[in-house]
Amino acid sequence: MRSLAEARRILIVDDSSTSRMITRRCFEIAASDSLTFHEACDGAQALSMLHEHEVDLIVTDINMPKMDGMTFVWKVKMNPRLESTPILVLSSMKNERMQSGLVGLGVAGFIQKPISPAKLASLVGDPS
Amino acid sequence: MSQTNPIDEALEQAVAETFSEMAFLDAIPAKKPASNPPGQLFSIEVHGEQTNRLVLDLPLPVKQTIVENIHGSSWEELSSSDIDDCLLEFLNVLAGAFGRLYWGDESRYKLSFPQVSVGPPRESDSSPPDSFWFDAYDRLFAIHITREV
Repeated sequence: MRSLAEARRILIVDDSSTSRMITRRCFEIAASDSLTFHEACDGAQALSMLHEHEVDLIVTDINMPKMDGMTFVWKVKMNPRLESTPILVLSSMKNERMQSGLVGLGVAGFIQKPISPAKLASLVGDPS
Repeated sequence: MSQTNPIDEALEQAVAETFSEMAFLDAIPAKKPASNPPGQLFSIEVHGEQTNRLVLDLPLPVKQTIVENIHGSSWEELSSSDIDDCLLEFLNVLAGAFGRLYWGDESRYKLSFPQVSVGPPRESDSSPPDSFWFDAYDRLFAIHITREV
C-alpha cells in the first residue's frame, strides 16, 4: 500500500462540483509532482470508476445522494481488491462518533470542510 | 443591545469561520437595515436535539463576491449551475460549522441537502424565524433561523 504522501492517482467523491474543485486545488498546491484526478458525484458512481481505474487514494464526502459516504467506505473496505486503498473522509459535519466508526472501518483520516492545503498537509504530510 | 445566546454565538462564529476560510471575506454582525435588500434564498436543515432551519439570504453583490472568491473566476465565466452549486456548498459548510459549534464535537447532528429556496423564510408552528444580519465589506446579508422542537 502506498502511503498517503505518495498518492498520485486520486479519486474525489463529492456531490458538489465546487467541493471537488476545491479539493483538487488543495492537492495541487500541496504536491510538487503532477497528480491524476478522477471525480465521482456519489458512492455508486465512485464504485463504477474503481472498476475502471486504479487509484492510490480516495477522498470522499459523507452526505451524498444515491449512495452516501458511509456505505461507500464500507463497500470499498469489504472489497479485497480495494480494501488497502487509503481513504480520507471530507465532511462538513464533525461528529466524533461518526469519525470513530469510520476509523473502525479503516479510514485513514478525517477533514472537516472547508478543506485547505494546511489541513491536508497535517494529514497527508508533504506529498512531494 | 446585542443578544448573546448559544445560537447567536454559534451562528456568528460559524459565519466568521466559513466566510474567512472558504471565501476569504470578513463577515461581522450588523444591525438590521431600514429596508431589506432583495436576496436569493438558500436553505438547509441542521438536525440535532432539535431541528434548526437555516436560510441564507444573499443579495446579488454578496453572492457574486463569494462565488468569484471561491472559484477564482469572474461571475461572467461561470454557469448558473456552477454558481448555485457553489452557494449550496458554501451553506453546507456553514451549517456544518454551526452544528459543531452549537452542539459540540461529541453530539450527533445531521444536515439535510441544501437547496435553493423560493419565497420568504418559512415559519414553523412554534416560532417565527429569527433574522441575523451580517456585514461583509459594507455588503449586508442575512441568515434566518427557524427552530422546530
